Amino acid sequence: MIARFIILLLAFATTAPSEWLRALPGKTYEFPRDHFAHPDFQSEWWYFTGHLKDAAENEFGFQITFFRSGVRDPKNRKTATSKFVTDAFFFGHFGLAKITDGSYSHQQVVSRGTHNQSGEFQEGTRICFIEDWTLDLIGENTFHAKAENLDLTFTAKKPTIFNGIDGASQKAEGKGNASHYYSITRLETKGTLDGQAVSGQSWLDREWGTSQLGEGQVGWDWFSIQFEDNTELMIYQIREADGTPSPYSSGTYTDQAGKSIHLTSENFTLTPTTSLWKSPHTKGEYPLSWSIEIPSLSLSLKTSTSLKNQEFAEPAISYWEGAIEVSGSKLGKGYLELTGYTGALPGF
Amino acid sequence: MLTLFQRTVLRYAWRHKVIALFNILSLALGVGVYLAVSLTNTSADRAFRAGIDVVAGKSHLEVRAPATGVPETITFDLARHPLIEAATPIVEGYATLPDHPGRYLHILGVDLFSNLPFATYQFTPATEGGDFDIAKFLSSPATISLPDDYATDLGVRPGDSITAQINGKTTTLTIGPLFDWSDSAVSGAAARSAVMDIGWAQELFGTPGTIKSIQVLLKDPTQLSASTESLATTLPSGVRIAPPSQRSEQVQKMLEGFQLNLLALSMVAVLVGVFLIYSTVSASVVRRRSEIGTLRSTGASRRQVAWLFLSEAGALGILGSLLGIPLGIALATVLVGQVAKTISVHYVLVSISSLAIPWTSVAIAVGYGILATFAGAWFPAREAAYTDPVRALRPGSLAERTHLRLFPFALAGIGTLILAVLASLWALGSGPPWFSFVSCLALVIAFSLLIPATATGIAVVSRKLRKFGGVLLAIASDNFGRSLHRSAVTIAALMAAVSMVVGVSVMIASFRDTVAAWVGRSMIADLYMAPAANDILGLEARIPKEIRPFLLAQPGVASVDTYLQLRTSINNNDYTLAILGGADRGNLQVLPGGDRSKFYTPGYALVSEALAISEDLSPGDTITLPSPTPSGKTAFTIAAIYIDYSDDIGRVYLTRDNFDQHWDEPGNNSLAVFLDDGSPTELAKIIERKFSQGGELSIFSNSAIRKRIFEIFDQTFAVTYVLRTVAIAVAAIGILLALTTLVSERTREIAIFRALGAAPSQIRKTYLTEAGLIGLTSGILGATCGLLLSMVLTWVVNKAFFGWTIQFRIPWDEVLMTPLWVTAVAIISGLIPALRAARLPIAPALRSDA
Repeated sequence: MIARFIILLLAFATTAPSEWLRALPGKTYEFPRDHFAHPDFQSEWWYFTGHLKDAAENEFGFQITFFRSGVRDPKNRKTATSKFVTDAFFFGHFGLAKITDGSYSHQQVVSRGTHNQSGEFQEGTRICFIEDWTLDLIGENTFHAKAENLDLTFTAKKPTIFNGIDGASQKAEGKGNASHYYSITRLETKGTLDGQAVSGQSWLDREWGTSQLGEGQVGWDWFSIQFEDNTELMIYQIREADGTPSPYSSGTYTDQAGKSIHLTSENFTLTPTTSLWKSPHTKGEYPLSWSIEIPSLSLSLKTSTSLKNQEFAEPAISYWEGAIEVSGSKLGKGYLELTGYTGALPGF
Repeated sequence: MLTLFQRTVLRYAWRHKVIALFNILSLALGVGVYLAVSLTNTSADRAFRAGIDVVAGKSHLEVRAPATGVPETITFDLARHPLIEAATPIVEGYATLPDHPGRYLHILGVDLFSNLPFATYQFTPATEGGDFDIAKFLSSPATISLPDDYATDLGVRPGDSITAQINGKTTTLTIGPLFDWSDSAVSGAAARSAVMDIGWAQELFGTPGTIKSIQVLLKDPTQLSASTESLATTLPSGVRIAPPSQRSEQVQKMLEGFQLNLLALSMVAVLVGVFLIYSTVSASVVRRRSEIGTLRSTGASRRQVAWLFLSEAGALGILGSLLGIPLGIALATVLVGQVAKTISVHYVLVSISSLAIPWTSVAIAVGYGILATFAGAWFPAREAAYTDPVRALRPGSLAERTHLRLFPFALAGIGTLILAVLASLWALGSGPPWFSFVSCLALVIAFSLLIPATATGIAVVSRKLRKFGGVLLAIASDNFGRSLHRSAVTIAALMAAVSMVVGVSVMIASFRDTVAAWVGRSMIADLYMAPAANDILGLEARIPKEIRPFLLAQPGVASVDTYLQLRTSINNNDYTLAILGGADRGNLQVLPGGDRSKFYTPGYALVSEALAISEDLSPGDTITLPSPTPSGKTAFTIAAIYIDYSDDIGRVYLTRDNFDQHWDEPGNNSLAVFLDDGSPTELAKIIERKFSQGGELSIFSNSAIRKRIFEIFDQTFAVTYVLRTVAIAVAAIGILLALTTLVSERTREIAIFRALGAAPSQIRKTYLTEAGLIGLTSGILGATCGLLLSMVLTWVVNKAFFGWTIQFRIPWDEVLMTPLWVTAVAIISGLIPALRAARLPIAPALRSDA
């Protein structure tokens, strides 16, 4: 989801990138092909979040994401003699919340996609790499991610679910302002974080598309929740410039059997419940506690976090992405992503 | 005391406002010239440093390969090195803008991602077309980002296009997003830089695979030297790592001689100012003898009297020095363009877009002014303090003290002269080069000390000429001989200025002759061509490679020689590497002791005189140059020392064949065409039609290139003309002041002459004659001193600073004319005081003190 924010910031000025493929309804997902890259779309990402514990029961939350951002569209890739000329650049984000310790740290790698320093694949084992960060598909729905302080293996425990309608998740008015979007809502996770052996459960979000957000959309509030009863909820609202939620906000509820229910903006309300937390780094003010009401599913939930400072603050980009606890009609754990709260547009 | 100051000093100054004004003005000129040169030098340094800061402002270390460029893949190995926090590759190149004559772009190709911690630019958030678009930045060929103010200056906005010439070819560049400098040290001074994506920069400059530098941030910057050493071992041959400041230090070292020369010239103006202050203060002491007597007899101490005159001079000095500030700044704005041009042609490309005015330079200039004032005022103030009050109060008691002791002065003069010779010898030998200026100063002082003897001699001779000149000449000669205690200093002022004019002129004339001879023997091709951009950029641009084969295919073309200039280093000092392609035509001029023909055999090189001096090399010695060979270096034996006036940095010359054995760089900066048939003009036209329709190339016939060389030569010395003119102007004011003093001193005497029947015209003639004698003495001594000075400049300063051997030649006509025009200037300066003397009212003058 965050990559959309980057596209908003960085590629917004581009007049409709005409030659990029657009996410249109009617898509049939194919695996393992769709786990790999789709370089004819302008942006794409592999997004893992999760809750892990070490042997001493210390709790960790993490996110690790591999982003690809297209530079030259498929029709515009004439060969250049300079090896520095690139068709896409890549960046990776790793956020680590040591919940028991009450500490948070993050790392970013950015690379221009040349000189074998970063890249992506459409088949084989390796899906994507950015300098020393790697993501591999090592079995059917089994992934292995490696970064400087992370080495985790993810094995799907529930079937892949497809967000949106008919293979496309519409984000704004207009044909193609959408993404192809699927999730694996429960992945058994083992490995090391910061050198500690850990295990637990993760969530994979996969999305690719071109020109998704519309004008006047300033950010969003996005939740992924794993309930204790082995059901899951993904839900987000896109905020318009005037502060109202976009009608294209949506969500997906997944039951124990892995069957998913699409939620439209009419099905739910998302409301901040406490005062804002002000970031000491960016001065951005984030709503960290929410109530989620989904009458059609009889769900009334409260979310909160025990670690306020989970802001991913970098010179070019800042957002809040952190582990949350969920209570109310069901108990669970999740991840919350808040973007567009830091005000001034960051730039290079 | 303050009231006393007001009554005596201010009132006096007000009554003699013209003299006060001249004094202030002359000092202001001296201080102004000094300040202007100092500001110009500072601005040039700062502009160059800002140019480095644009790229390396935040880096701890910089990886460069002077001769060949850095292989780009090194970047990624470095970035992963445990000592390194961040590393980013930089491509650099230049483009000239034919629609904006004289303007250029210093284009930086950057990798936005790894450059993030190094960036000195910040894209302006809301330019036309929305926010900064990274995909567009990365995907648009030939698109440059400009600093906001330079874009405004050039009249372009994002989306516009601009015509540029790169390596002798015309291209169109698109203007991308604009940016501001985030570092204030960079802004302004580095206004001509542009930023673009590194990949498209390589495409634009045709340099795939290599980059200009890698900027490095260390994890632990406190371990700078240890890290540098350890990283150096990981780099391939020919690639160097060093702190970026080293580059500006090297450039500063290169410019040192040039800048010091300018500063020394400007000091002459201040020196002349010292002499002037002396004249003025002594004038005022003479005028106010009775006043001094009154003060002393009513209880003023000697110290108070001295203080009064010193404070008077001080007031003038402070006013003059302060006035020198705006004058200096104004003059600097004129000089700065000239100096930037000269530095760009001879040393490094620099564009001074704004004048640096550090308060320290201003304070130093004002300090010099005030110091000069007190130095000049000291002796007359002492004279005032030791005036006998009784005698001072008796009118008519002032006798001119005729007897300056000639012998001790002359002896001291000869002693100082010997000192000057010794200083020169030391500067040429093991001593520091700036000792050559000590020698110059000693020369001027020596000749100043010789003034009494010379002037007395001239007075005696001219008196003997009364047969031809009549009684007026005799009187003027006597007056001149008797009043040396006053006029000697004026003569010194004028002499110093004249000697500087003569010295510099003779040096430049010799230099010009030498260069002419050199050019005559070296430049023997029929046609020369180079990218037009080189006129602005120095030898940055390469000539399109298809031109040489095309030329060779033309009928009548016998051969095409090539020239390429790169950077190299010997013992970690930077030098120029010049690669000459072509057969031995016997046109390379070498110093005796070498064997020129060996140059054309493998393993041999030539070095320029400047290099031979700074690295202490002689024929037969071996030099080792960094090269992209497995061992990283190649050794060459020096065949001979090449006589070369193209730069003072020091050069190594290799033949194309020798170069190609160890380097891989086929490009050239310029071509020289030899015809055995046909007309050079016709060929030039063909080339123009085919390759230079947009003025991409500068094509010179043999005579045109010689002309161009002398244009550059004259431009180089243009600054000195300004300085020389100012010095003469200041000295002319000096004569005016000195004669005014003499007229005051002799008020009574003049009145007696008049009472005895002398006509005003006779009085006028007497004083004009005396002015002429002052001029003549200054002229003769100045010309002689100037000749000696030019020897020091030619043989010592040039050799010590620049390593040039110049054939000394005396332009006799110019030298011999000097006393004549100086006498004329002196007579013109004497007009006002002479008229004053002629118009003195007789009766009150007879009763007056003098």
